[in-house]
Amino acid sequence: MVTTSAVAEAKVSANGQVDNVIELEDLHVHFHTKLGVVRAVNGVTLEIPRGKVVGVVGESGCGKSQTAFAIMQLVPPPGRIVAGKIVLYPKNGPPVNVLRYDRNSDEMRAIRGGHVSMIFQEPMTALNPVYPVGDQIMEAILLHQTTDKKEAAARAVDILGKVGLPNPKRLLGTYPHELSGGMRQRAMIALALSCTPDLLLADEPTTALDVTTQAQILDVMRELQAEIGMSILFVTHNLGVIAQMADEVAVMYLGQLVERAPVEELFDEPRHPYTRALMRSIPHLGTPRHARLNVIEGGLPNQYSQVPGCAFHPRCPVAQPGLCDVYQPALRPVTPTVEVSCFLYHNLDGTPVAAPTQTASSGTGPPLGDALPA
Amino acid sequence: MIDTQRTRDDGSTDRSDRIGARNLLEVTGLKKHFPIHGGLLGRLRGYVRAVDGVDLFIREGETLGLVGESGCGKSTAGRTIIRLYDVTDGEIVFHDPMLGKIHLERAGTAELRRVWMSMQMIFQDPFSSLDPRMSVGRIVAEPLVVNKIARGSELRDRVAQVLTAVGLRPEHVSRYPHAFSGGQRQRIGIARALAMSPKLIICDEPVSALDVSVQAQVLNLLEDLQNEFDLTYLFIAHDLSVVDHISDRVAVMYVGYVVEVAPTEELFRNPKMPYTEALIGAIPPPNPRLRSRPVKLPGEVPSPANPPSGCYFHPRCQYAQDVCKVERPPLRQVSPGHYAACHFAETLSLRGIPTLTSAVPAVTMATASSVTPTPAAPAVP
Repeated sequence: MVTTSAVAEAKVSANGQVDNVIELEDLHVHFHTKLGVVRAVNGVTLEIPRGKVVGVVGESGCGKSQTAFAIMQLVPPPGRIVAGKIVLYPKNGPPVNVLRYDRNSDEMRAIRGGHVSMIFQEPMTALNPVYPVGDQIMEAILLHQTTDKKEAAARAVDILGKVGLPNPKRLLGTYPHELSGGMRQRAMIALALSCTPDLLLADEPTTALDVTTQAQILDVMRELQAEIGMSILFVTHNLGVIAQMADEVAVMYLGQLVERAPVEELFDEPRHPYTRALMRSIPHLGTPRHARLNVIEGGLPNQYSQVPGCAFHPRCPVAQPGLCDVYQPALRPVTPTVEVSCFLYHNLDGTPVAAPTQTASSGTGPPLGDALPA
Repeated sequence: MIDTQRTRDDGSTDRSDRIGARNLLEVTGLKKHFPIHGGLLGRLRGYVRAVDGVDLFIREGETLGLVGESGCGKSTAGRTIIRLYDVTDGEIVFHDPMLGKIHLERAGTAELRRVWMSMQMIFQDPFSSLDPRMSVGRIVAEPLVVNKIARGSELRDRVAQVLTAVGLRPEHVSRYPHAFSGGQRQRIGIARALAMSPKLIICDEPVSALDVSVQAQVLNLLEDLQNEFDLTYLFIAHDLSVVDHISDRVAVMYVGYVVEVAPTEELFRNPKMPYTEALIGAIPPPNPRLRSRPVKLPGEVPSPANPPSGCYFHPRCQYAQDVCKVERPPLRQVSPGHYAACHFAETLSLRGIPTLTSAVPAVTMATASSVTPTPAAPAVP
């Protein structure tokens, strides 16, 4: 139910001219099980600017993959998108309110693969083992872009070459099992990019790869991103990959965004206590050798329960009793570019806390920026 | 962020007191070839040279990291060292605290059983390495029972003791593996290895299957246990950041053999073998202002069934010369403690991780001033 006025409002809502490829608003994905309701995505509002890479960081189970699946309307049952709005702004054509369509509708099929594509950690989740790679890519092109088989084949060869696969013509007839891990990953990227989507959802695409292959894949993704001008939602927990790939970073915890910042700012000064804790728990080159890694105290709460107040407060070293365990902080701007949901930075009524950085750093140790190579 | 901090930070580099001068394990020319059978009659077609001449030694009390791309033979090397596989060729000398010097490559079953009391292994997958039908108590007790080390209340006490050491509760003995999360299962695997009070533990990708926050817990646990029980680790992993964090020295493997060994800092700062340079160069630096293009490493890892001639790395090496195609360079010492298998180790000037200077960005200074616990601030000149 996208009215033109609503779209216009959303587009200029931030600072003047914002060109977003997609806007998620208060998205809720629930899994109704016999044991209770799992709130996998619990009120995510996120915009992805056109041509930019937004990195999503968080532990397993924080809802980062389900957010991506929700955009494609591919949340697996018993999961359901129970509330929220997803508006897609294709390069050519009018804005689309994604959730207005049935998940099995033709419109949704046109969005998947045509405007939004997804790549995964394990390439065999996307590639069908019984069809040659070329057939699978041509199928997507024939579905979305052209009905001419010859042209589809030519485009498939072209995209296979672009992802850096040697001898792309011969690869058309090659089956996925004949390729090495890195080559399969490239083939999957080729499949996802064959229809020049507006948005690519990348769910840990390099996590299972060796560093050398990872470097090659990241290189290919960066090149194609610039060439096609697409946006990427890049889900990963590798801080190095985030630093190299992302323009902006969104940090998720228990289905909610807790921090959003441009990548430089996030690495300079992670603000939310969870962001700080997470970033310091991941070893990276430059952390003092053999020094104890920071561990986030406690474990994730029972997935069926709902934590009152801030979801992170039971594990938070700087939680304020009477505040954090009662009220839920909203994601609010701390600087013009950074948004954080934490009462260290804004009061209950939304007004900023005076001198927030000092309050935040007491007792939380050095921010990550400290251990980074110059 | 700077060298000075690394060395000053308590316990970060100065582990010389806990590392003995004595070697605990010496591996020379270790080979493990797997036969390939094919055709109707299952005739021998050739060999996969998974491990093809590994040389390394591990000092008492240290952590030796073993890195390499998947398929380079690092896991096979670990499993062959502990004799889960028979040895094709080469020597494995283990200096057992009780039995003295043992040649593992020709040890028989009875002897191996005694050696395994001081040499244990932790596996990558915490889901498949634990029998789902055995309770935690039985899993941890099994090595003690099999080796007739403890029984009755003594056995129960020992199991409770190691479970506590790895951060689990003694009451967990009656539960089954499915009731535990990935991190807890890995702790059970560690407890099983610890039960025998080993000297050497071969850790085969112990944190690769774990979630990020859990990974930190298990890495901390491994370091704590090392200090508490005076353990020596052979730490096999493909994640270079993890290896950098936990290792005293690092060995790099490529297609079945060790191409470089050096103290961790030296290896990452000052590699002497082009493959190490490429491997280090491929690590995405965790700094958004440092968006460098990695050293391009063309091609793919060759098949260990059909390795190239000469130096196995020469087809992908940008510095390769004619001699590299013909002669495989031996692993030799190029500077004290730094071994490399390259004909031109002395002459090449290779790029490691950029040396960190005092040109720290202003932001870092700002954050350093707000730091309370670490003594890092005074180290900044």
